[in-house]
Amino acid sequence: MPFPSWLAYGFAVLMVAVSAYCVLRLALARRMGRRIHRDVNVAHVLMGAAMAGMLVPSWRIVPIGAWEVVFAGVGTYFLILCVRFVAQRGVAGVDDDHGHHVSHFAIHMVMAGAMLYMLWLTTSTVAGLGSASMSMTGSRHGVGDPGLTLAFVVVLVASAVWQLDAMGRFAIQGRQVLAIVPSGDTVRPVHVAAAVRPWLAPRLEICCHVAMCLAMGYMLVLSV
Amino acid sequence: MPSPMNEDAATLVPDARRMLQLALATLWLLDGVLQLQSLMFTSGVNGFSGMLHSAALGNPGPVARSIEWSSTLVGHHAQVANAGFALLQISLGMGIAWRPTLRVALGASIAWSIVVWWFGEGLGGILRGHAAPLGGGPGAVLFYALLAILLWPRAQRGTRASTVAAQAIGSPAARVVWAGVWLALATLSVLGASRSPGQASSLLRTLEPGEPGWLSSLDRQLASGLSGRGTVVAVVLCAVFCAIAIGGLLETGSQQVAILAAVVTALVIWVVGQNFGRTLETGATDPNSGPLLVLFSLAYWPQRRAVHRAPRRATGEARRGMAPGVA
Repeated sequence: MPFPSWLAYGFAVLMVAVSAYCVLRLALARRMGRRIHRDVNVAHVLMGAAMAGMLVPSWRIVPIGAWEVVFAGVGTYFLILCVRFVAQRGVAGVDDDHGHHVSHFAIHMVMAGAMLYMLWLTTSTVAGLGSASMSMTGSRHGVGDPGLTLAFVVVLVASAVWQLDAMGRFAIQGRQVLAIVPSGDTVRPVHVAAAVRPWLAPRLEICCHVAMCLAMGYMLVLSV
Repeated sequence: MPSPMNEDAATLVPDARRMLQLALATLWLLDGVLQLQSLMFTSGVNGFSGMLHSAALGNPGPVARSIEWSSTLVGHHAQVANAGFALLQISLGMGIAWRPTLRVALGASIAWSIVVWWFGEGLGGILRGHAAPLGGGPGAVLFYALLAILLWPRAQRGTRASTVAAQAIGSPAARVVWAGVWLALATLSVLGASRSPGQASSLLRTLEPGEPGWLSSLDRQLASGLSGRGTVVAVVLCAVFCAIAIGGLLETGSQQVAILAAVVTALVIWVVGQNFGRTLETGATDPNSGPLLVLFSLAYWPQRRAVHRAPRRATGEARRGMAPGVA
């Protein structure tokens, strides 16, 4: 089926940009002593690089088999974090920075699963066509399971929406109170920024996640 | 995801209206992503322009000509046009999800819905007597516009509205809309070709090809079972829609039962009559009217009245002397 290559290149460039930005974040956070989610940023670097390679085969820097091992590892890592979180805080619990539910880890586990699924689709297509061009944008529709593909797409799109809404909540919060600590029978405001290391541009990290979800959704619908 | 929020952020958890807005945003974003399928970038009979052209069939002359004109235009610039449509729908979804652009995005979604209803859905088949609610009539995209109105953000100060829909347009108007929508669906289910004996089975047979095995098998069995019974199906649907319309206008207990019945009916129609909007096969552009009817119904779920307490003194103090946020 004819496919606009400029769109694949566009998404590939976006993924490279996200990947490079997350590398920069990791370096800056270390240098400036800011807090970031290291595991999430590392996952974004890996996913961005892998997706760019799937969209434009000539940009592939690591063989597909190696990526499969990497994302199996990433998925297992986030699965362990999910299980540990639920064991310590329950399904509805929140963590120490009062913002993360288990979904924080679960969505990255799902994203790693989606990466594995897309890598499997790519290799299946190549096996089916006997072609040397292992491109995600090649003629591969109808290869995967449509139900599973759609489930991945819906979860990714819903996550993007949820995070965009969270970005708005950040903005409101930024103008308001930072933390309220119980003190006797009243509450007392505390400047969190003074008490703990500040976060490094969390809204830009959300933008990276949203871009990742959309690019992944796009790549998945190509297989329906 | 990064959300290093403090305790105060927990009070900013989305309320019922915001949750419905986010669900609507998800549907728009899903539509945008589905619009990026390879098939949509092609012209010709089997491409996107062909899909648009088919909406003209059976419509009155001026309407049909306007749809043919738009499909020809899209056919000449298939890639640019489709990329534009996809980008617009993705922007609508993201705009609704991001609070500062909520109103603009909801307003734009109403305008875009009307454009799509005319040029993409051929006015939902109403003018050619093929707007059976079982198949998605009178056009799924109309419900996007309706939801944008019912979920419009309004200040709740001083209002006694008990539902999300009533908060937006007032209780009397919300009740009129509820009754109007379900009675319109009831009418459309027995209007024109919708009540013909072969309608239900022929609809299910057209859904069958291309679907996964289990769904295809379900379609086949139902089509066989309902063969020649289309009129009965239409009358039953009409009765159910009328009951929902009336039930929603009664007191709270009956209203909740009617809303639950509406949600169940919408889901059954979505699975059986719409096959999840045919999103499990190539070429679907949206999940059809099932999920939108669910959202529409949930906008009428009675809300618990908020008890307004005086803010805690220290919170007020805190808000006066705050440093910039974590972000």
